[in-house]
Amino acid sequence: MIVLWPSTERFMARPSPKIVVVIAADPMNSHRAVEALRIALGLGSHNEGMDLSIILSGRAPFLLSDDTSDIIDGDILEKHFPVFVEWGTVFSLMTDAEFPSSYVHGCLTQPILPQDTATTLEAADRVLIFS
Amino acid sequence: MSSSSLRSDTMTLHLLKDPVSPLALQLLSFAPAPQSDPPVVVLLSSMGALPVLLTSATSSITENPLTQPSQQGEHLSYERLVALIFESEKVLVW
Repeated sequence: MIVLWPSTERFMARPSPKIVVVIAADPMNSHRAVEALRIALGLGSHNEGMDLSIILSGRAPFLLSDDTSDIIDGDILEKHFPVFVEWGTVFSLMTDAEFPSSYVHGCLTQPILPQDTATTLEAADRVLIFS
Repeated sequence: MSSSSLRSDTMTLHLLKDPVSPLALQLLSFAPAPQSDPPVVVLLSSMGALPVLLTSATSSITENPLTQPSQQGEHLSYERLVALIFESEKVLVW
């Protein structure tokens, strides 16, 4: 993954850029999915995720499952996920994704259509994609 | 002219790894907002097949853009790719 930030001058002018994190990695087959959430946590920590949007695609919605036994780095996920619940982060789940049978208690989700995902990415200041 | 003055306020650069992510193709198939510049799409491989996108121009990266056999799309040098990264308002790496 490559992260490119604006120049310091531009960043100072816009101290709270709208950040979108797209996670398409399969948490049962790659450590990247949990790592992506951990990075999103860091990016949103300055204002409790107010300028952070997280979109889950493919099998990434299983990050929100109440059963983390098959998830790679599930222990890290269990350690950090309660912060998102505390922030009230609403996870956008792409409508053509795969979904777990039940979610972590307190986890907020909303469906998002592919065309709305494209619009969201276009409107964001910065986008990180983990696939 | 300084490089900062070449920046576009609306141009988005999409960098595609090979093989290309199906999610990238899916989302790039939607037309950008009318007020935005068309996205620029670059495949980070000279070997992979360039995706056909109706919404944007696609290019592939190569060591020798002038000597590569002609195929669909444009060939970019690494130097031009670096310039594009700095000219773009936003860079998405798929």
